[in-house]
Amino acid sequence: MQNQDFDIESLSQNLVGISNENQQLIKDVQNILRNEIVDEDGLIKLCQQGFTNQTSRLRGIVWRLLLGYFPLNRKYWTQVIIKNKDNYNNIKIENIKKAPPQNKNDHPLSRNTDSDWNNHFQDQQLWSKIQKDVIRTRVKELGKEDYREMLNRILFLCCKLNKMDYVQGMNEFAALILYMCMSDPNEKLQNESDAFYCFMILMTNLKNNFQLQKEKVRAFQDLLKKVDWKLHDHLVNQKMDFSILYVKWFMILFAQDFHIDDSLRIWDCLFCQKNNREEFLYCLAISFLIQLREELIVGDFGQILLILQNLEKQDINLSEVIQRAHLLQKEQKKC
Amino acid sequence: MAEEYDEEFGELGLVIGDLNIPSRASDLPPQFKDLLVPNKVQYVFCTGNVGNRETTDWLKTLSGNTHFVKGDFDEAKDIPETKIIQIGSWKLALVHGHQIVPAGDDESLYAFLKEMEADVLITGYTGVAKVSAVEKKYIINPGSVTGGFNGQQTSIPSFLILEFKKEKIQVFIYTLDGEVKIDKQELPLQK
Repeated sequence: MQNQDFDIESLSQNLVGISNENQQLIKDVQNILRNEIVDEDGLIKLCQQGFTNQTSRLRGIVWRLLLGYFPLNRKYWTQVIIKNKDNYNNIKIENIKKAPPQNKNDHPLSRNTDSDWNNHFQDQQLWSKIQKDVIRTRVKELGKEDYREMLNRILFLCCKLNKMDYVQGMNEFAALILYMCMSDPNEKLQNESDAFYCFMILMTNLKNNFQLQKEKVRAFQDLLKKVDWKLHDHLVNQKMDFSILYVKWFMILFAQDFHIDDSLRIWDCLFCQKNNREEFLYCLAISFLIQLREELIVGDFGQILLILQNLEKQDINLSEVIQRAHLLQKEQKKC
Repeated sequence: MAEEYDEEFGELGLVIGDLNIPSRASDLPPQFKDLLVPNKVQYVFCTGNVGNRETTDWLKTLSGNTHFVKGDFDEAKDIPETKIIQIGSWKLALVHGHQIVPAGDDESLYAFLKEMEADVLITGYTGVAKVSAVEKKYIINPGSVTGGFNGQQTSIPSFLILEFKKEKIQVFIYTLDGEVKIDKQELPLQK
């Protein structure tokens, strides 16, 4: 049972209602996964436009592969899942259900770093801080008490183990990953432990993500100027502050406010970018602006802000935006 | 599967009283002031004789759940003489103690506790920290946190922290004799 190969045949089950094109995509991905070693580049090529509702069954495996949680050799996948379930259990026990104070000299008001009581209070504070955000994160999809606790745990343990502060935005990231895991049609992938480790990997990859870097805002603006100077100039003339967009798009990575399927699809694209994530992010952002060009170019400061601060409420064809982003990226490479 | 072990960290209550600020003391000893910060304890039980309004206000910042009873020098009109508080499986009675004669006498205190039908009596007045078991009940006194408890003498400054568990209370007795000393005592629930 332990060493049973991870089942990928079920991916092509129940294809009723799925378009021919998408059925082909699923089968093509399945073929890649059938090989002993996954051809990562081949997989990326197939998946880089992101998954829709018809192809979202592929997301669980693809994210785990692209994050490096699953090795490229499929025969280890089941082991990885089982081993990490155990590891996660131990982590939970050690860090959440703490035994009462062992040290004879410990007391509730102690501020020593090795005081169980002191650590208990720090933990409580961290937990509460996270909880304040968790209760309003993805309420529609993760509003259940069970899911809220999972989300709180994942964020708490990640911050505690990495000795890092909790920052707003982390909740949105963890929520996407948790939702991705728990809504997987394959039961074997519905694991809080998988979500935890994938989130940890993501946090490691996004080292300085939550710091506003002025040079990046500048780079974004410059690229827009290059691609569509008329739109750029109009926005500048209307005193548009590009750093506002930077927070929601480049730091929160479109994870907030958007319909969850759209956020997930954007992340499909971002994960497929491996080492070019930042460059693609710029192209994606510019693609959104171009998609809304007609309204933006006639809008004043207030109207522009209204549109861009509520991107998720605009009537946007995400497939078009993504396609254009890829084209822009190709064009930039030629320069 | 789980072996029998103590529940984790229980709720905390600070037991403190007989401050008499500014008449008998200007403030808490700095070593104590340093330890008593907000949001560490869930409850504050004040045995009475606080002193000025400022001090009362400060006590209220320590937790969201502060209980005061009237000492013989407390002037405010709206503080009760006694209070009953239920915490989990424990029923606490709170009274300053100047009403009980003879003062600090375990037998008389016990009679009062029995009348209140409580498990633990929290009382002050004597200025001396004490934890005693009488029959199946407990009488605990935090002493005076400033050491200025009445006109005649000063005492060693002290206060208590109670950790409430289902089957017992863990008492931490903080005294200041040159430096801060912490003693522990366990009070099992006996009903």
